[in-house]
Parts: sequence; C-alpha cells; structure tokens
Amino acid sequence: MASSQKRISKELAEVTTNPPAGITVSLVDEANVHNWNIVMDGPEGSPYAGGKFKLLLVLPTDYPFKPPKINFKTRIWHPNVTFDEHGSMCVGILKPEAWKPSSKIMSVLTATQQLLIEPVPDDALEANAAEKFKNNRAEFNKEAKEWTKKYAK
Amino acid sequence: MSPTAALRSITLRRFQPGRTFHSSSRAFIKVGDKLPNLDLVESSPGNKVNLSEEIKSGKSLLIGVPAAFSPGCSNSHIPGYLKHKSLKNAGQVFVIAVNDPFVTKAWGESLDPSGNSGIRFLGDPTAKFTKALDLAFDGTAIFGGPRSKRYALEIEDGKVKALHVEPDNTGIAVSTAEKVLGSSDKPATRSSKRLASAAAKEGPPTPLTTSTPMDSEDEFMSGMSSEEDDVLQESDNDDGSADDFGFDEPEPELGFSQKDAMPKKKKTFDINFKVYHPEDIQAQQDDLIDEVNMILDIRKEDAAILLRHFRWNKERLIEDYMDRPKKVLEDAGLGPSATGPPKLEVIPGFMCDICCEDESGLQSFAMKCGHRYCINCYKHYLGQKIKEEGEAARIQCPADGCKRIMDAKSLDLLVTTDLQQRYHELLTRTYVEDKEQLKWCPAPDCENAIECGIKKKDLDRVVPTVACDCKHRFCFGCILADHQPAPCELVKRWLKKCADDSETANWISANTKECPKCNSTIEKNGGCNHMTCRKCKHEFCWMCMGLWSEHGTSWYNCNRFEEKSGSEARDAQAKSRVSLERYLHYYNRYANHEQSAKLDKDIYNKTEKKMIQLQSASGMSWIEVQYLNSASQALQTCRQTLKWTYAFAFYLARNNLTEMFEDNQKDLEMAVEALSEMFEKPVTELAEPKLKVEIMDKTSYCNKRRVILLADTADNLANGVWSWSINF
Ligand SMILES: [Zn+2]
Ligand SMILES: [Zn+2]
Ligand SMILES: [Zn+2]
Ligand SMILES: [Zn+2]
Ligand SMILES: [Zn+2]
Ligand SMILES: [Zn+2]
Repeated sequence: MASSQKRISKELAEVTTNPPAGITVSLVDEANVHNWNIVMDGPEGSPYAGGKFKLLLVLPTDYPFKPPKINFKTRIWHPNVTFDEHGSMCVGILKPEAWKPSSKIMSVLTATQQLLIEPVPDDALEANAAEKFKNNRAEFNKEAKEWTKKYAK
Repeated sequence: MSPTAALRSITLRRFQPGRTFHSSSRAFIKVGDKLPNLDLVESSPGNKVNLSEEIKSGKSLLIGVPAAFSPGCSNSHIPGYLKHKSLKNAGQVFVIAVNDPFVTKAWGESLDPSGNSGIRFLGDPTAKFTKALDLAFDGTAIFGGPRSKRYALEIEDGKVKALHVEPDNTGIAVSTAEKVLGSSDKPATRSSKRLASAAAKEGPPTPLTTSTPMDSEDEFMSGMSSEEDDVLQESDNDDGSADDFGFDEPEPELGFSQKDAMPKKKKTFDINFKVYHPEDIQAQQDDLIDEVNMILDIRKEDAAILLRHFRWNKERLIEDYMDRPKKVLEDAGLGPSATGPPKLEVIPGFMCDICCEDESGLQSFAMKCGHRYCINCYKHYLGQKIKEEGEAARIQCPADGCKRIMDAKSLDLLVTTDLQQRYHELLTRTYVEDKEQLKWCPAPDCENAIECGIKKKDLDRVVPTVACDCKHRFCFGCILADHQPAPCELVKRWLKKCADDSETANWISANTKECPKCNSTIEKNGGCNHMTCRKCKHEFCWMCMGLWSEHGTSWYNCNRFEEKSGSEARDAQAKSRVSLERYLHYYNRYANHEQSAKLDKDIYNKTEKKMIQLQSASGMSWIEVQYLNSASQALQTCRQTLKWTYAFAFYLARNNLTEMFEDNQKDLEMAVEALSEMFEKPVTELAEPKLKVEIMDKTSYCNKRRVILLADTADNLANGVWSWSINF
C-alpha cells in the first residue's frame, strides 16, 4: 500500500534521525520497512537499568489503521510482559480500542519505556511478577535485576 | 365435493355419532342468502313474526342460542350483547331460541327487565326456522331434542351479510358480542380483519398471547370460562376426552376460524411482550431524537449521539444536561466546536497526518474538533470500523486521544451509500442492544425485536417464552429456542452436562436398536415410539424397550425413573452407576423427543407431497388436508415441551408435587405418542374422514395437555415450591 509506505518511511526517518533517549531503531531487512529492530536501554532507576533489551516491531500491511505488534526478544521479568520466548507485551496504546490511525510509533516506543519504569500490575500477564510488584517491592526489584543480569546483556 | 360440504359432513360425523340427523347435503345458510320465509313466535303462540318480511331493509342481527336459560347464554353470551357499546349500531336485534314463546318471553324479561336494549326474544318451538338455516343440531342428549347452534347472523336488506357459527354448536367463542360487534376498545372492523388474517395462519394454538391488546378480551373470556367448559364437556365427549373443539382448519368461506375462537385464558406461563418490526424500531428512535432536539435545542445528530451515550435514557440525559451541559457534551464525545457545519475542503499546503500525502487538490475533512485528515484516510478508517468491527455508535475521531464521536451527518458525507446503510443498521442495533427490555429475534434473517419486561432476576421464577411474528418461539431470558417448562439456569446446566457426557450418551440417541425379543436390528424412521419388529412382530417401546401393551395402562411409567433405594447403592461404584443410569434415563427421553420431532416433521413433509398428489387425484381441497399441518405442529410443539420436561425432571428433587408433574408428563407423553402413531399411518388411511376426525381430536387434546402441564409447572415455579437436586 503506497500510502502506508510513505507514512512508515516518514516515521522511520523521524525515529532514526531524532531517536528518543535510550532507544535505537534499525530495519531487520533494508528492503522491508515493516519489520523494525528496537534496542532499548533499561531505564535508570528501574530494576532493568544496565540491561539492553531487544524488541521486534512489526507493522501490519494495514498500518496505520491497525496497530503495530511489538514483542520483547530479550527475556524480561515484568508484570506486563510474558516471561517466555514470545515476550508478548500489554501496553495500552496498542489495544485496538485505543489505537488511532494518527497514533505514532514514537508513542509506542515511549509507552514501552514508560512501562519498564512503571509497571501496571492490574493489567498483568505475569501474575507472579505482578503479585511481588504489589506486595513485596524489594523482592520484586531483586528478582527483576537478577533476570536482567542473566538475559539483558 | 365442495370444501364447505366436506367440512359440514365432518362436523356432522363428529358431533352426531351414530345418528344421522340430516339427510340433505346442503350447507348452512351462507353470505348472500335470504332468510327463510317461516314464522317465529314472540311472547305468545298467536303472535307470529316473519323475519323475512320484518327485516327486508336495513341492518339487523340474529342471535341463535341452544335454549333459553341455558347457563352459557344467561351468564355471559346475551348479557355481553346487552352491555355492548355498539349494540345500538347493530340495527334490530333478535335472539332466537328453540323454545316456546312463554319461555323466551320470561327469559327476555329476566335478562333485560326494562326492555331498554330493544332486543327482541323470539321462539322457534319446533326448530323449523333453525333447521331451515341448517343451524340445528341434535341436542337430544342434553336438551331432549333438536336445538340451535349458537350463532350470530348479520343481516342487511334481508340478506345474510356475515355469519358467526360456533364450530362446536354450543360454545361461546365466535358468536360473542366482542367478536360480532367488535371489542369495546377497538372499532368494529377489527374483529373481522383479525379473523380473516387468523384464517390464513396455521399451527397449534400457542399458549402465548400478545396480551396487551387482548386484556379486555381475556377478562371477558375468563369470566365465563367455567360455564363454558361445562357445556363443552356435556356436548363433546365422543372420544371420552372431554376435549374442547378441535378444528384447526381455516374456513375462509364461513368467515371465521376456530383457532381465533379459542378462548385465550391468561396463564402463568403467558408472558407480556411486544414484537417490533424494523420500521417501529426506527420510529421509536426518531421520536426520542426529535424530543431531545426540541427540549435541549441541539442538532438532531448531536441529540442522537447524546441519547446513545445515555443508552436511550432520555430522562437522565435531560436532567444531566440541564445540570452540566458542557460536561455532558464532553463525555459524549461532543466537545467544544472549532469549525462550522461538516464539509469537504481543499486546503492549500495540507498534508494528511495519517497517510502523509500532500498532493494539491487533496480533499480533506475535519469534525468539530478540528482534526483534519484526507478523505481517503477517512474512508478507510470508517470502512474498517463499520465493516470489520461492526462499530457505529462509538466511532471516534481518528486523531490520537480525541474522543469526539463521528456523527451521522459527517459520516454520510464521507462514505459510500452501502456503508451508510450498514452504519444506520448498526445504529439501530445499538438501540436494541442498549435496552434491557429489548432483544433481537434470533431467527436467521429475522429483523424484528421483542420487548419484554422480564428481568434477569426473575428468571428463577418464570420461563419467558416469546413468539416473534416470524413464528420463531424463543426464551427472552437466554435467547435459546423455547424451553418451557425448564428455567434458563437449569437449561444451561443441562446442555453443559449433555455436552460433557456426550460420549456416554451417544449410543442412546442412535437410530437403530435391537428387538428385545429376537435381537434383529430395528431402525426408527418415524417419530412414534411404538415399535413393531418386522421379523417377530414383537411390540415394544423404543424408549424403555418394555412391552408396548403395558404402555397406556395405569401402570405406564415409561417417563418415571425408579429411584433405587440407598441400600442397593452402597459402594461408590454402584452409586456412580445409579447416577449414570438416572442421567441416561432422562437423557434418553430428552434426546428421543428431539429426534422424534425431526422425524415427525419429515413425515409431514413427505405426507404433504402425497397429499398434493392425492388432492389432484381425488379433488380434495387444500384446506381439507390442513389438519395434518396442525397435527404436525402440535407434535413439534408438544415434543419440544416434553423434551424439556425430562431435563426438568432430572434436576427435580422429589417432593409432594413431583407426582402431579410426572402424571402430567405421562398424560402428554401418551397423547403425543398416540397422535404420532395415527400421524404415521399411510396416506390412503389418512385421507379417511374417520381417521381425520380422530387426528383432529387428538391434536387438540395434545395441545390441551401441554397447556395443563405448562400451567402447573409455571405456577409452582412462580411460587418457588419446586425443590431441586442442585442449587441454581
Ligand atoms: Zn490521508
Ligand atoms: Zn478529533
Ligand atoms: Zn423473528
Ligand atoms: Zn431461557
Ligand atoms: Zn423381533
Ligand atoms: Zn416405554
């Protein structure tokens, strides 16, 4: 879809020339603007600090009318990300009812970053992590840090 | 043979068993006929009245009754006329009874002491006038001689304009003042219109009434029902069933239909409801929108959005809006305005933020929030929302975070007509879906909605079966097909159990079984449970595999599961076996009725084809074969009810009411099996008048037993006196 190409190219140019702090973006394959590699630094002050997390962002053919899909390729222990090989994430802006055609990938990236700083335990995908986050923050931070050390190098 | 003559001969055979009262083959007096030139008497034997002379011109009404002072007449039939508002418009009114003039005089004075009504009471002592109308019947058994059917003849200029003849001779249904002069709340034409349309309808009398317009009639009818039953029982006991009149044939020539004549008494299982057609649903919304548009002085599009936001609660909307208009508009997605009325614009230097196109001449659009995008993106966005997501009432502006709701006017500007149409359909749907008391008819291709006041919390006390105009009968509580008498929650549990246990139960619903005597394989290919082995001629019951000869006797208990005593089921294994057996007992019967209903329908369809052939070969009319349709529908409906009685029974804990329930179930079961068996007879036999009458009788008996069963279960449910084996 031509219109989709134009929009994606514009967004890609913006994110690569003026990337948000702690995020780098590149195409998985130069010939395909629909698959993006994202590398996100664990935000300072979070238990993920010091880690580098790889994510895959896929733009559907119907983009921007349909929201992008984003998954953690690096394992992360977080209430809103499945602790498995899928690394599926629950982030508000990508929910079908919240996504609008004028929503931008930049917002998705910053929302993801924000989620690492401030998990939303009520929207949890990992009950165990959510439970610890709510009831035993010290324990949660400790465990999240350990996994970060183990995987996000 | 003309249809009328055929009908009449059936009537005669049915009501005068073993005795030929009429030898001529002429039919009743019919529309257009002149009155016979014969004398009646008024007050004294010398005072002769010749109606063919007396009412040569103008309107008049003749009411025939079996006899003066007979309970039905004195209590409600004639008083109904005396009280009726339209009596004065009926012209001269005569009541004619097969009595001597002294009796009719005394009777008239007792009913209308002042004589203000103007009704004249005439005697036809030898029934000669009545016989000439062919409206006499042999009343020897009750009255000691020939009597008049109950009828009403509308006469205009000496000729019959309309006739209303009670199909069972003495009942009070089609000849009531309400039917003849019109019900008191509606114009008089209503009754004839309704009769005509009812004559075109088919099927067993449904226990449902759209009771809103019927209330007055219901009260009227129930007030007399006890006497009427008495009369019926005396006059119609040819099959020992004390049945009500069982005709389901439409009789267009006579201008009435017996079905319509069925007195509709209000039962506990009758639910008040209304059927709305698409245009009604649209009109209701338009009315509300107009009202809000007037009261709040806002655009209709905005009024519509506000109403949808408030789920069509107009009162709350107006109240809230009066309090805080800004907040209400904001919350409903009608935030502050930035531009004028919606229109497409070409703006120099515009670049669409969605597709990033910026070619010159690109048309763009913005709602009042000012978020502007190109027309192509709007089209794509709206198409996706409407077509893929089925969204209409809550489509927001495409801008990130903007909650402005797309209004109908803007939408119409942006999309093609087929999308517009779909959008408006969806909007209409939200109206129904937003209202608790409205539900769509689930029948495929049906666009009607039903309004019913039954709430979720009522569902343990009532089974709200409603009937759409498309004839689909369904439960308003859970939208499943009619499942009376079983309450919704029970149905849910039962269906889940059946799904879970389907493997175990599969063998049972199989269509072949082995003859219990000679073990040869027998296939069931009709709905009837009375099986006869082709090989050894052993007769047995498909359901319990027991001897058929034992069924239909007083110890028939095919429907009842004999609970084994606790001592027999001491260990866990035995207990679980008993519980499985118990389940299979009920499941077997449940599944059997489901299956049989289908087979009965098949038979009907096959028979219908043969009937068409027979019709052309024998010259019988289409109307004359309709009794099979009625029988087929009665079988379907009754089996549907029976089916659910077994799920009902499965969860029922025994108490003093269980026996009554099982007896009712048994009675209906036996009646249905008997009808099913007749119904499966070969076509050549079906065409015989004797079997035809039997089938009609049995059909109406089945329908009656069903009503009795449903009334009993519904009453107990409403009173909360059933006890269940599980908690609902
Ligand atoms: Zn665009
Ligand atoms: Zn907007
Ligand atoms: Zn329908
Ligand atoms: Zn239900
Ligand atoms: Zn056999
Ligand atoms: Zn049996």
